[in-house]
Amino acid sequence: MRKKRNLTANPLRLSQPAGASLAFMGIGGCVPLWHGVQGCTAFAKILFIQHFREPMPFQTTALTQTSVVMGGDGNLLEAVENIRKDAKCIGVLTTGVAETCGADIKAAVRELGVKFPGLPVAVVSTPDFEGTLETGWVKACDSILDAFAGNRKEPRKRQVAFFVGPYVTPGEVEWLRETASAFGLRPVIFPDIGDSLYGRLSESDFVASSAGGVSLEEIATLADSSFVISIGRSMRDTAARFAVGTEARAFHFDHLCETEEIDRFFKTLCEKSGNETPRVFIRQRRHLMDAMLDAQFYFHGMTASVAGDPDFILRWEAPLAGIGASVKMFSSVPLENVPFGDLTEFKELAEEDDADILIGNSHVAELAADMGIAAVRAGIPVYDRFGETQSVRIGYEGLARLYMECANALMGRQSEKATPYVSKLQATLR
Amino acid sequence: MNLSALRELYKEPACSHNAKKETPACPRPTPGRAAGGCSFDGAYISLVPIADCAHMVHGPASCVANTWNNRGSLSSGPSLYRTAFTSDLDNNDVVFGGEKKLFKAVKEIIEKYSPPAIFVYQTCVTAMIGDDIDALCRAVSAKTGVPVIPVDSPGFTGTKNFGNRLAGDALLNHVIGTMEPATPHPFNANLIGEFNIAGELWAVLPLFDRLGIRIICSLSGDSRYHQVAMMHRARANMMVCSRALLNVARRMEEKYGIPFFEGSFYGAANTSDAIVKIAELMGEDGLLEKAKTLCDEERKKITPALEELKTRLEGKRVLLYTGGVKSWSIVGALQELGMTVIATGTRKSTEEDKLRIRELMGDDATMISEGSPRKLLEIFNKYGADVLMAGGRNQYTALKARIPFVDVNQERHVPFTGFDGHVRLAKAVADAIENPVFKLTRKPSPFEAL
Repeated sequence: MRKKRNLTANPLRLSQPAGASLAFMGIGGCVPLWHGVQGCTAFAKILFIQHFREPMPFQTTALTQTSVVMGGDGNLLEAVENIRKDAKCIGVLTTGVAETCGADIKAAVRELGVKFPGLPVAVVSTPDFEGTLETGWVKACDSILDAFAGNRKEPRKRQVAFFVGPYVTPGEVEWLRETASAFGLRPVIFPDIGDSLYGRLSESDFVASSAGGVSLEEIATLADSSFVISIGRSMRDTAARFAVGTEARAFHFDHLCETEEIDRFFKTLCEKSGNETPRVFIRQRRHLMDAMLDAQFYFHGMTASVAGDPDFILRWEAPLAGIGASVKMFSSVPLENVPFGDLTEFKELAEEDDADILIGNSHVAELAADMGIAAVRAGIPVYDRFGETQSVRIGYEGLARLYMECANALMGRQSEKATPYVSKLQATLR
Repeated sequence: MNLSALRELYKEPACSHNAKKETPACPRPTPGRAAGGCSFDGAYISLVPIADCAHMVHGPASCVANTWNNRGSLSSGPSLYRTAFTSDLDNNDVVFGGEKKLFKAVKEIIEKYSPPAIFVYQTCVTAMIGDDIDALCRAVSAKTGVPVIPVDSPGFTGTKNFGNRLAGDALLNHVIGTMEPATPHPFNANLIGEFNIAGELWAVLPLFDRLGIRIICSLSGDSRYHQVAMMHRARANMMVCSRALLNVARRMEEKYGIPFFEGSFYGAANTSDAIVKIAELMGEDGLLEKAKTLCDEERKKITPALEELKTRLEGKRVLLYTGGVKSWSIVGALQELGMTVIATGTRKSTEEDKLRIRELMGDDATMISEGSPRKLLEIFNKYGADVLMAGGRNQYTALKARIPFVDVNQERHVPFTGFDGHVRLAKAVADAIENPVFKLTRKPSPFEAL
């Protein structure tokens, strides 16, 4: 990688406040309030609307040139005053603008507590000149736990707390819920964008906050859970720290996209629930083994280049390496032993590596089209396909589908066909 | 087809099945234990790759509706061969005869697609109801001026191999020798039985171009009607890796005095031998020298890649189950890589093929004449093989047994011919053996262990 980066062309990194606001969307009745200029909010709003095909109830403190000089606390108070009727809770997140003008967010919160006693507010500092969507998500989660999670009171033997990262799709959140329920467990998923952003039509015509998610009451009981399962590297530390204070044991999974890890996941559920694995999953595992054997031909000698946040590239590296492809990871932010940068650099590297397939968001798929190679769309944003929000690529069945999706993409490539050759001497025949 | 003509074809002298028998006949399929296609299948697949022609199947749905367009024979130009034309007989046609329908259908093809020629395939049902496709083809040809070639290939006449022969017969009787090349060329050759699967023909054609040898026709991969019609102007015929169309080579030798030999483009050594042999048959010393130099150069070029792959493949054991020339040509290619072929299939191999197998694998070479899935797995386990190389129909047998598999027949996507093809073959085998999926799937599931 370059020593000093001056230019970014076609960024891969999404902003940290975007990640924070997405995490707040997984809390029931929450309004993510962006402490920044209108535009900060609007851009992220459009990003998520296009990706999830859902309205995004983001609000902004709408800083102006006066307030960035004189201080924006007034704007924050005014914004909270205006949205508190619509919200069960408010998630305040800062942007680069608020941070640069020196907003003292902690002090502002104290002031909010005085002015609006009893109003649930979580606050997180997420300047967009550092981190990425993933780090913003984690910081927001930490702030929510700080604000709303209680101490351990009455242990709930059947309750399992899932701490999920931002690259677990709403469809996958639903899968976690159903799977844990199949073991007779009571899952609480934190944050729960499966409930709020899966895409379901509700009775009411208009909701000014997140339409679902894990409730504040449930968050208060997280500490009573019998055990904690974290999914996504980014959530590991948050879950571990949380577990330390609660006696609940934490089990971490970087992803559930590899047979051994899924095995471990089911074993954990078995042990902790005291129930056997339902037959449906055992049958799905057999199908996965069969599907992997069938599909492996298409991965022979293939190079897959994966671009995105660390959680995302890790969850793709494992399954592809596991079926014999050579995987080149490319990160949005610095990550040990992995190159990072923008999509222009990613394309250069992918060309150098002679990649056969690119895995990433819709921008990445466009690069693949330019290069005339295969692509699988995943991550955020996927704006040119339906169904990404509902996709399930975890668990035995989901992993089988992942392989088929990739194999299909590889099968459909133009370059799979040999280049025709016509002898010049043929012209002399007639 | 009348009985005496059929008998003539059964007698094909170059066919080894007939070598020592008094009553010549290709082996009759055994009810309850037969695998593989019928003679219609054999005839159809040997001619369909003639890319600019229309291929019209006169028969009911089973003959073509179930399997069209499922083979990997590629074309560099026209794609009409990929359209499956059929008269799709119904009840009424069977009762009242299908000739009128066929006549109209063929005329419609000519009007709509203007192909240089049409092949019409006779099938069991239409033969049984007595449709005279010979007369019909003559009539349409006379009326339209477009060659319409009857291929008398009802499935009940025998095996797929025999069907190849029926196809060859149709070409000899109706096509070969009917057109002349516009410009003469000193060095002309044909490749017979090369189907351009996955572009395998394209992998070797450039080599002939560099030597100035004009391949008039590759029968029938990526070929055109006029090329087939001009085949008689070649100085040599190479029978490529297949028993199919053997009668074409033999009868062209009889009729036009064109010598033929059997060769293979699988493996660097075989490829060199084949190219040098063709050059030799051209009858000019300069060309022969040029060919030898070219092959040496090409072999040198791939040596580093092969050496590297050898480190991955050395000592690995292969069970090879394929047919005909491939049963020995691929053996050689694998041995060059330091691998051991524990057994090879000889279901479709000739005595000559078997002799070459013994030369390569020693006198006690294990030859498998009957390759039921169970038998293959038995042999695989008995000899501790690492990989099964066979045709697509055995692919899922191998996979269900968690055995690495390489497709060496027609469903392939990677060309294994020529010098570069040898590298690709080696890579395919190494990738198959090393795929982590096999280790994973052989481990017991945690649920069975619990």
